[in-house]
This record gives sequence, structure tokens and C-alpha cells, in this order.
Amino acid sequence: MKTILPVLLCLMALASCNPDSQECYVPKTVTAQIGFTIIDTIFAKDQLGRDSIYVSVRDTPLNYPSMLSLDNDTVIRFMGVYKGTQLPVMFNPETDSIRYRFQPDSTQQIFDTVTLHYDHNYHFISNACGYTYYYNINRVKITHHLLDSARIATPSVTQSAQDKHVILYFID
Amino acid sequence: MSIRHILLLTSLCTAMGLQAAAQEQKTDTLTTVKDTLKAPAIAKDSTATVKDSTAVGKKKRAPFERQFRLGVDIYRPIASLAYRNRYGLELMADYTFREDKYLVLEAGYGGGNIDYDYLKYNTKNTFIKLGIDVSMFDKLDNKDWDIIFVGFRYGLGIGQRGPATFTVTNPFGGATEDETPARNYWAHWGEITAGMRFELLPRFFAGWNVRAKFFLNANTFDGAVAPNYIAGYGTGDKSTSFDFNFYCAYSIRWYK
Repeated sequence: MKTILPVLLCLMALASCNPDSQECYVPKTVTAQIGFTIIDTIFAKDQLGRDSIYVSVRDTPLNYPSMLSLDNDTVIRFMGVYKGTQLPVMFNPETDSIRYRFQPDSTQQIFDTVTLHYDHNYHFISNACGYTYYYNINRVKITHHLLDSARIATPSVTQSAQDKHVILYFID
Repeated sequence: MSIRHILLLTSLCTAMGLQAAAQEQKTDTLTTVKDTLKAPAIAKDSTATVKDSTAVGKKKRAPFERQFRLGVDIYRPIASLAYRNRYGLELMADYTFREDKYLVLEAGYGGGNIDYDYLKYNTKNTFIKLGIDVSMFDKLDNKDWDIIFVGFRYGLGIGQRGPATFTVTNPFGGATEDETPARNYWAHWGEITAGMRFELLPRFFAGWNVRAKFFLNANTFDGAVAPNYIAGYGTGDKSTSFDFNFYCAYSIRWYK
């Protein structure tokens, strides 16, 4: 019994080192990833002299692109890196759509507006993190100053960090 | 439950099965030798000889002292002093169905609560576990009941998580508070355990278990509030759990 008591006391001491509340190690706010793709069309003639069209579609790096939220009391601006090929955006769960001013190149004052329509639902992450919102993108609308078109690649916006949710297409 | 967990459980079961088979073979050999030695003495009585050969056919085991032990986990109440948001009581009973093997039944109840700014709820459940412990070492003598063992368990818990109120923040400012209704749940899991039991005083034992537990239906809580504590298992939002118990137990014995 003399040896058991110290063991028990040590275990209690170890147990008491653990905090009562847990730390949350995952982001509580989910973001949608907007990717940039260029459609490069080359008109040429082939070896037989026929007119040919070569279409090349590829991810395109942009020069410090940015997204600025519109219509909300709080303005959130997402700044991309040099040669960034994608940007995150957040949703407002109190509305069913959100508008962003998209600037593809920080050196040019040319903007497009991207409007995302979505619905949302609650999702339990863990006891440490609580709840967050998951979103489902229904529709994307854009202006066409620099952008050609937009496509919803992955409608479901969750905590997955791998997905590109919306692709914006430029035409070279 | 991952493939690694299944392999681990399977290999443990296989190892225990092999050990059981080896033990059985050993016992049979001893019985046969005993019968051969007795044979000249009873050769005159043909009926007795027939009886003995039947006994060999049925693989009759040598009688040994049986033990039934009942214990209570005293670590759980002590741990609840450190972990204020969980409580529980666990009892165990085991029975020596072979000299080195124990059939184990564990049962208990418990609960937990979460009282964070962003999440609040209560939960409670009862559980039962069934399994086997296998002693790692042979007895020194008939009075040696101290064991170091490995074992496995299958656990089943039934409980209820009360209504949960939660707050979700909006990145554009403000927060929304909402509630999700109460929910009944059942959980089942597998365990690999190891530990010791020492007879401190005649018939009074103390000993501990360490346990690795594998949630078999962890996806039952996908997207919904997972109980912060499932008595018998551990944290409900994790698919593996590690635990410790310290038992005080009393045993009764009889010869059979």
C-alpha cells in the first residue's frame, strides 16, 4: 500500500496538469478558394495550310490579386501573393449572397465584381471548436471587364483545404 | 475503425487463441500420462478402464481453484477532481475459467458537461464491457494469485446528450446563438488492455489497467455534437482513446 499511494498521487498530479478546456487547432471559419485560369487561343495554320485553333487552358498567376468585400459593415480584403493562382473569400451567413470587388493586378485600376449566391448550414467541428457554418454555392455572377466567365468547380464549402470552389477564366 | 486497428485486434485474438491451444495440449498430455500410470492398477476392472478412456476422449481438465473477483475503479472519482467536466463510476468482475484466463465483465455509468462560451450541454450514459484477460506468467504456486495480464474488451454504451446551445461567430461581425435538440445515442468500441492485480491482503486485490480503445461507430456523431465524455470509452469526438483504471477488489474462491 505504501508504494501504491505515491503512484496514485503522481497520476493525480499528471491528470491535474491537463487543462479543463480544450484548445481548438482548426480554423473556425471556412473559406471558399477562387482559382484563376487563362484560356489562351492561338489562331494558326497547320502543315497542310488549314486554319487551326489551339486552345490552351492553364492556371494563371496574377500580380498581387485582391478581393474586397462589398455591401457589409465590416470590410474584408483578401490580398494575394505575387504570382498568386488563387484567393480565399468568406461568406456572410446572415445573407444568401455576397459581392467582392476583384482586382487581378494591383498595378492596374481595373476591377471586376464577383457575386456568389449560396446557402448555409451548421456544422459541428468538435467540442474544442464548437460549431461553424458550411456553405453550398448555388450561382456565381461576374462582370466582364477582364474576366471571361466563371464556373463552380466544387459547390460544397467545408473545412477541406484542398478544393478550389470557383474558377474565374480570363481570355488572353 | 482503420485497417491498422482491425489487424491489431486480429493479431491479439490469434495470439491468445494459439496460447489457449498450447495450454490445452499441455493439459491433455498430462492427463494421458496420469492415465497411463494408473492403468496397471485398474487393469483388472474392465469397466473402469472403459471409463478412463472415455475421460481422455472428453479431454477432462484437472480441477483447479476458481476465483470470482469484484472490484471498483477508484481512479475515476479521483480523476473527476481534476477533470471537473466529467464523472463516472466503474465496476469490474472477473472469473477464472482457466487457470491463466479470466472472463471479465465491466459496467458503469458516467457523464459530462460542456460549459464554454460557444457551447453548452450535458451528457450521461451507462456502459457494459465483456472480454478476457490472459495472464502473462505462470503461477509460482497455488496460492499465487498475482497476475500481469493482457486482454481485450468489447464495450457498448447507451446514453443521451441533452439539448446543446451554441454560438457561431460571423466573420463580418456579430454572432448567432442557436440550439440543437437532445439526442439518444449508442456507441460501441473495442479495447486492448494490459495491467496488474496484486493480492495485498488475503483476498483483497489492488491493480491497474491501461487501455487503448477504438471507436467502432465514430461516424454516428458526424456533423452533430459528440459527447465530451462517454463513460467507459472517453472523448466522443475522437476515434481512439486511452484510459487508465485503478481497481480495489475482493475475491471469493472455491475448488472445482
